[in-house]
Amino acid sequence: MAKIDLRRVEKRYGDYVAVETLDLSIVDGEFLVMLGPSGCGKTTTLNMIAGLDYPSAGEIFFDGQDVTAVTPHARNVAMVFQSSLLYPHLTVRRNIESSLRHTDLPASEKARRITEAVRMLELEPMLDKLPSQMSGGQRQRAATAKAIVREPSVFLLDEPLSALDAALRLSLRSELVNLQKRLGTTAVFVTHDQVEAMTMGDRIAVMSRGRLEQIGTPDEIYNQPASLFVAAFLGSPPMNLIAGEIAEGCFRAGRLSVPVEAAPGPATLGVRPQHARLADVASAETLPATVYALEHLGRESVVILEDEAGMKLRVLVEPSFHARVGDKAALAPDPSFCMLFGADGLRLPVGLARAA
Amino acid sequence: MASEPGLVRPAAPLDRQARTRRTRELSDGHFALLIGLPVIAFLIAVVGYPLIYSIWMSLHKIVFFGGYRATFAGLDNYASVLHDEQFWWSTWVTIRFTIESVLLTMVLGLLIALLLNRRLMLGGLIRTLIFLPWCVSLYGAGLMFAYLARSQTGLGTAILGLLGIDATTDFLSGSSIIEVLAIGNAWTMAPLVAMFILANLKTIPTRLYDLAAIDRLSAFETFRYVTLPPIRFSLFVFTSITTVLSMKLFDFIFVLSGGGPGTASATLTYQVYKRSFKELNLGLGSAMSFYLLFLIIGSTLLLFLLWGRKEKPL
Repeated sequence: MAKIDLRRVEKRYGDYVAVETLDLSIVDGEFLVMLGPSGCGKTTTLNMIAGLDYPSAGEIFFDGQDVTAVTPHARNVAMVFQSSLLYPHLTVRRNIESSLRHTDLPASEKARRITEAVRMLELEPMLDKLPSQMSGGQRQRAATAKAIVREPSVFLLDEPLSALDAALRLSLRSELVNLQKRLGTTAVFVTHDQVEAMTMGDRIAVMSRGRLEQIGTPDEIYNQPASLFVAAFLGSPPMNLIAGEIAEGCFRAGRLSVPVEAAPGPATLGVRPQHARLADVASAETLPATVYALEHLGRESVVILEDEAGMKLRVLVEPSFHARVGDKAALAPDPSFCMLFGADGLRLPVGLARAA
Repeated sequence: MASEPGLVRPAAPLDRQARTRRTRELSDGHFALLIGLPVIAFLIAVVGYPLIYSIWMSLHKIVFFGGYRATFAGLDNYASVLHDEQFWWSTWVTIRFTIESVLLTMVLGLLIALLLNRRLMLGGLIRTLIFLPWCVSLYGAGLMFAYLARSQTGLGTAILGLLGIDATTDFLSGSSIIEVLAIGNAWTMAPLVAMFILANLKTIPTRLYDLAAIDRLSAFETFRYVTLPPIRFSLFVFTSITTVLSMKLFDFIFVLSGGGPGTASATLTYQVYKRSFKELNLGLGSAMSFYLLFLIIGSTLLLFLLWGRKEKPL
């Protein structure tokens, strides 16, 4: 169990900046998800926390102790890799044992921990199997057991679920979080899947191009995105983003007009599909568009519209809604739920005018 | 077609038509035989005929002087070979040369592969350069190594000269000639071994090395648990291949040492050559070549029994 602090950590490969001056505090016992598209620096950051890679600048602290130059094993981290990597030709038992091979623990303690982990993850029947003889889910559990026997100060998970099929991923998500909460060990989980991030994380750190865009609880990230990037990356179906201009107390984009209280200038209006509705095509101050597709999700449906510029917009509607491709419609955002982003991509800290 | 529901089955006449046409077609086996025929004929010409002819020769006493005569001699040739002291000496030379060659080739090949598996500046160029020795003809390599090992022009003498010592070294002497041959042989074969091992190494996920680092496996353990498993099968295959190639190597030895000095480097292939073509005792030479064949088959079989059975191809 540990509190982890990254102070002005930076990673460069020649001219390429993988991680740009990152400050990050991971609270003891929390499940932190690092979310971002590939190449955003999240795995590099994880490697630096693990000690597999050393920062070009900055320090890393575990419980206030500088571990920047300490080797992975001495930091007592445990890592679960993509596709739940195990030594391919060693049995599950020997894979788990290899975690404790170079520790000073007495044999009885090693045996106790292994038995405990095996029982917890229900691995008894497959201890003598090779990883190649097991399913993806079983391998995942074996890799987890291998990680927990060390009783590490932190679990590092690098997209461990990404190679699994959807149904399995769903069940393993809650299994992992449940285990982490029971053990109370700090965990850092790297993923590019926003659903995983939202469902698993106590907090989410959103990264983009080597920079930390925002860190906060799933609720904060979803409802108060700090930037256009965060707003666009989280949420399914994704947020509608409409480029326009603020002038005379109104955001305008073509015919669309939303009353706002903000300084004039170019801006982007963001509205989630559930906060927009379809309006009559002739109604004023709405965005005219044509129906492009209709997706049934069961509990609701998503209408995908295409405006004159070819931009796709999404609106959540009742499952009974019917429309044909090519129908004319208009999008009317709910002004009280709209967000505004400035030209620099940051959210404008403004209250939107109460809609009449 | 019947398995796809919803599809209308073709009308019966069509069906029958198709079947009558099929009877005129060749079966798969016949077709394979037909297209394989040229290769089979070629193999009979270049492998079968010489093989049978040499069996025939080994069972005959062949005399050239005073007119060519071949008289049936039964297993006499095979018996005389066993009484030939030179044969036993050559067998020992062959085994020594083969063991040294195989060990050197495999160790060198593995080291080159491990080196090339690292990220290198100009990696492509270095790979090409390292692969080149395999492309050099054994004749050329033989001349080069003779030149390097000889006392006047040799590497040893040059190094001593650089150190200011006025002396010569001659590695072409009876005591070290086999080592010179083995080094030269390994120099030509190791690049190929390295390339195949390198291909295996490339299949290892780099994250497995990270896992080993987190488990704090030592360099030896990491090699044993991460690096070695995927290359073991290739190591076995190439140990077998280099064993065979070393045992039947001739041209390189012929050019480099000519079996000498004396008979110091007269391997079995060289001995077969000497008996058959220098002494024109073709029957005895043929019989000896079959003992070489038995040695090759025996040693590869032994390799398989001791090692290969445990290995699974990837």
